[in-house]
Amino acid sequence: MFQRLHIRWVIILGFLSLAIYFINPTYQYYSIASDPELSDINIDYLKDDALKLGLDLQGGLYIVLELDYKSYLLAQANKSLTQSLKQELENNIDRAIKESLLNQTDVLDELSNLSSNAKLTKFYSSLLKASPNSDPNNTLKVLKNKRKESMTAILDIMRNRIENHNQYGVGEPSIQRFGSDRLVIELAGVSDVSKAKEYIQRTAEFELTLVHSIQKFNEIIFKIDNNGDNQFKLQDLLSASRGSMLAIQKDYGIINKILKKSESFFSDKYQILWDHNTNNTANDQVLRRLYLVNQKSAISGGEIKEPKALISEFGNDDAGKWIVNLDMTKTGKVKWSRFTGNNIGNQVAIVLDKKVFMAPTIQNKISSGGTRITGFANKQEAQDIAAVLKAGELPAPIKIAQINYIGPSLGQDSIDSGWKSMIFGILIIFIFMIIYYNVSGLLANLALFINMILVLGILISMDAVLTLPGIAGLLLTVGMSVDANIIIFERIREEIRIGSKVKAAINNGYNRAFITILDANVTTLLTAFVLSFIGSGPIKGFATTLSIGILCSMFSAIFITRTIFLTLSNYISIKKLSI
Amino acid sequence: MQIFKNTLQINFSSYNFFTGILSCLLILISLFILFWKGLNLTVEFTGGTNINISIVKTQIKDFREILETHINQKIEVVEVNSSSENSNFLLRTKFIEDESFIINQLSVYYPTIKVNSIDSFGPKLGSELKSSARNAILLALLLISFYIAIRFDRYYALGSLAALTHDVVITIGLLSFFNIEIGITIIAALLTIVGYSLNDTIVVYDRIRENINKLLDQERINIINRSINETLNRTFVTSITTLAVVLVLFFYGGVVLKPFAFTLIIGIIIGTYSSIFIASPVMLFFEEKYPIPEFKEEED
Repeated sequence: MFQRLHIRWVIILGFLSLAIYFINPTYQYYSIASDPELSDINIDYLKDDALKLGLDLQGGLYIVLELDYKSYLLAQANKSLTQSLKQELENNIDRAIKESLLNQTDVLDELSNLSSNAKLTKFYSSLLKASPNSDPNNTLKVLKNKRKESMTAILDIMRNRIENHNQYGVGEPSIQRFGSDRLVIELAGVSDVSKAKEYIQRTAEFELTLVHSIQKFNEIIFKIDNNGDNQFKLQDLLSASRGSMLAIQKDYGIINKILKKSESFFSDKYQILWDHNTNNTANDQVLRRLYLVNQKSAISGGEIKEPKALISEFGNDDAGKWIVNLDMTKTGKVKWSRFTGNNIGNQVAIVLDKKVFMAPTIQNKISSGGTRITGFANKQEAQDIAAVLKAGELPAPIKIAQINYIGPSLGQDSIDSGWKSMIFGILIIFIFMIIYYNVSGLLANLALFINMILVLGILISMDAVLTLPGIAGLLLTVGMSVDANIIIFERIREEIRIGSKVKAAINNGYNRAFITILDANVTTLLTAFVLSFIGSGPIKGFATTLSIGILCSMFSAIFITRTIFLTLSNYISIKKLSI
Repeated sequence: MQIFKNTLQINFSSYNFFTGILSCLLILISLFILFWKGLNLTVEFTGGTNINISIVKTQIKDFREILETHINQKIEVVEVNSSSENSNFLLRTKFIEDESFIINQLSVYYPTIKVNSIDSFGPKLGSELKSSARNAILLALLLISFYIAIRFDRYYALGSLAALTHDVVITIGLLSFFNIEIGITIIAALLTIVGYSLNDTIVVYDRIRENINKLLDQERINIINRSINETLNRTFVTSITTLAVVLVLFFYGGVVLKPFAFTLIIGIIIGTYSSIFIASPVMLFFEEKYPIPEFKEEED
């Protein structure tokens, strides 16, 4: 008996310490973050391991973007359709969209149901031609592949826009594919909805601009380091390499902070921009380049024409290699000619949304406008740059399908009221249990307390996000989890009533109550399980906390309180149970 | 301490006629309210845009006037949770992708305008959510009946299903009566009620099952009465603790959780009632009316 109790305590304490191990970073993070005196302590390293708050608590913006099927399907269609065919396609698309809304089906499936395969092939013959390996009898599949491609490309462009928006550190953006035709964007801590939306919806900002020499860059770094009151020096964080500065990944945040603060030292003439790509060194460090480029651009987005990735022809030095060709508009030609003439041997940065995608060297003066960019490793690289030169136009039209915005003050209100009701609720239960079940109630409270620690530990270890409904779920488990103890205690009381000895009463009480608790809780678990399939973040948070809470409460009621009872009755001979 | 004496022997079955009529009436009234007023769904299900703003203290009448003269769109306005210094208005309109236009127009008149929250759902998402919510509730009921049919038998499953339907219908009826909008959080609350009410019912069923095996010579109706009496303390204590935390949520949980907590309060009260007065009598009714033939032979 004693031996078994021993093991029981090892299990309980083991779980408990594991839970505390997971909770610890959260405790540290939020206690430091909420103390204004400790504001200069860097706690970013704790953030990953701390419990994350949902958008409804932090405040922020949640946007669902959806493929705009009508314009997308019309744009993909064969350009040389007759007027009547075009009309038919448009009608079919309209009907397909309506049907898909009604039947909860894919628009593309509905479209292919509405049009015969021959018709569909006619509508999209140019698309079929462009994808040579496809089965001509399966236009639907080609359309679906194309959609997948487009959505992936949109995701990349969106990610770039958002990361760029976030360059100087605002909250934690997240962007994900959702189903076959949607993207979900979450911007925590955003307080200006229209600005954020504008950022997501606008087309990217493109420019060609001069890269300044490393000497110039050093001068500016010197100026920043000596004039700003920064904790770190830029010169310690950056190292010069091939016309730009290299930074190690862990320093990105600090560098961004310094640059943001010291913008006034250089922003009249220059901008300091990150490279779009990162490099890995031999010892697995991730490096990223910083460029010093001209504030005023040489060429902007509208002045470039027909960028194309292609293989260089015979007769050129780089024959057979991938290059990008582009042309300029009339005004572009004049500017470009002057710019390239003045800067032969210098680098020019291809900048999209304030990120440098490439910085080729100007070989000679270009007066015709026709420009070749060389030095690509493969087809993909060349195509990517060609896409960038198209100024980040989205490959398919999208529209907003859902917006949820929670202002920062409403979020804070929710945190405050959630916190308050949590404490208040637990207190009421504690007092009630002691009044109603005396010493045994105290034990139930201890179990409830351990239960809360376990639930929190599990939530954090699962990387769960705490939402307001999640807090409600937590509080609800507090109310319901004492139920298991109540069932057990009522059983023990009954046993005592019919004259059982204390130890026997406890044992019988627990054994008899076990089945009841199991049956009663499994059904609640079932409903929580079903709930986790519908709704978005907040409701999922509710379902998760509720299910974990129920599982833990069964463990704490059946296992933990029983162990305490057994231990106590081993050491003290209890004549009369205080229950 | 104890709420009910252990010698308690209430003859619950004697109230069956009265409670049966009461429940039927409640259900009929709920259905009547539902058909009369319809379900009041949030934009999550219907599609539409809700904007919650705070401005300096303004009469809702004046605010409506400004909206009407400057925005060429039908916008409903209701006042919600205004404080002494500020007016809080909820603007509701059909789905718009760009709500900043409205805000910009308003900021001319109310420069201190603050957007508290925006909920905007396109029609497609709304209808998707609606069907997934409906499926979720049906799936939950199905899974539960299945579980009970396996763990107990089909009569228990029918009894609990009747109790659950009773709870959900009356709760929705009351929500409709109090003009509470039904959104995803309310669906979550309804499913929680289903889980909770079932929890109560199963504790009683469990005791019935145990007593049937223990007291073989007793009439079924006496066993049910005895079981309900025996579990009555537990039923009430759990209801009190759960109701206590839900009341805390209602009073201190903030604006967002208030309708959620309210739904749970109604549900817990009705769920407790149904687990005592509906679940077992219905189970017994089906058992007596449609007995399993083989089972009877065994008894003989």
